[in-house]
Amino acid sequence: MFEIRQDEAGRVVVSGRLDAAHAPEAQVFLDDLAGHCVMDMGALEYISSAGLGVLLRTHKRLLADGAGLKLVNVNHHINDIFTYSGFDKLFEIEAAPASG
Amino acid sequence: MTREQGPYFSQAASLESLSRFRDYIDQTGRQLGVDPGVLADLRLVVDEAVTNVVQHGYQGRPGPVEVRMKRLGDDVVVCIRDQARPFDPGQVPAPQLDKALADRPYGGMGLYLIRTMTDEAEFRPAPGGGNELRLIRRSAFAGTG
Repeated sequence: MFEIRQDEAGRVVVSGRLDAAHAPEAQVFLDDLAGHCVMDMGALEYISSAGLGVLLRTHKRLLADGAGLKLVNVNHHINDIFTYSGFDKLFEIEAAPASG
Repeated sequence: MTREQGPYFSQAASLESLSRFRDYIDQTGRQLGVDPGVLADLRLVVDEAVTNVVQHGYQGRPGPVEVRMKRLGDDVVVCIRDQARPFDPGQVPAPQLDKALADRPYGGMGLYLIRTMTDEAEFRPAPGGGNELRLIRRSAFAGTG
């Protein structure tokens, strides 16, 4: 299951599992956004390289207009994947508060 | 070269099968007692491998994908088999992680993550046609890391 929506504050909220089966749906949603975007990843359980590609494309497009994509509430495992893939050098990333 | 023996979890190649392969890895990993952090890595690695088979191996054509996970001492071994065209990992460009955003290509991350998150990743032709990817993650159980 994967879901992407915008909340009342204009934040993009993603939940579930962002894999190659759901990457096209995420890309279509994000292609409609403009300006500075904040993506809340608190409910995202999982992301694969197809999802990383979606984030990279979107960030690149928004940066060309002087804006960008900020990733917040990122859990430990997804943060590790961002580090492996060099995303920590490309994106502004805020980790989720440590749980428990 | 002998084909890996033992029960495989088999699905028709499709992106919709990704969640079923991840569920297989989760269930089998928990039964085997694999460390939860290692299991999270293996879930991603298998997802990447199956995605590559579906998109680049079969290129939309039908065919089977089979996955098996087992314990070997303190290690976990995962084998992924297909009957797609021969795959040569040497032909996949590296993802160029040090490139600035504007120059960074979108692809190449899947194979990179597979190699980063396992201790061994061996691609070989499967006897009788197709490909076999054998992945090893060492010290994969709680207390062995």
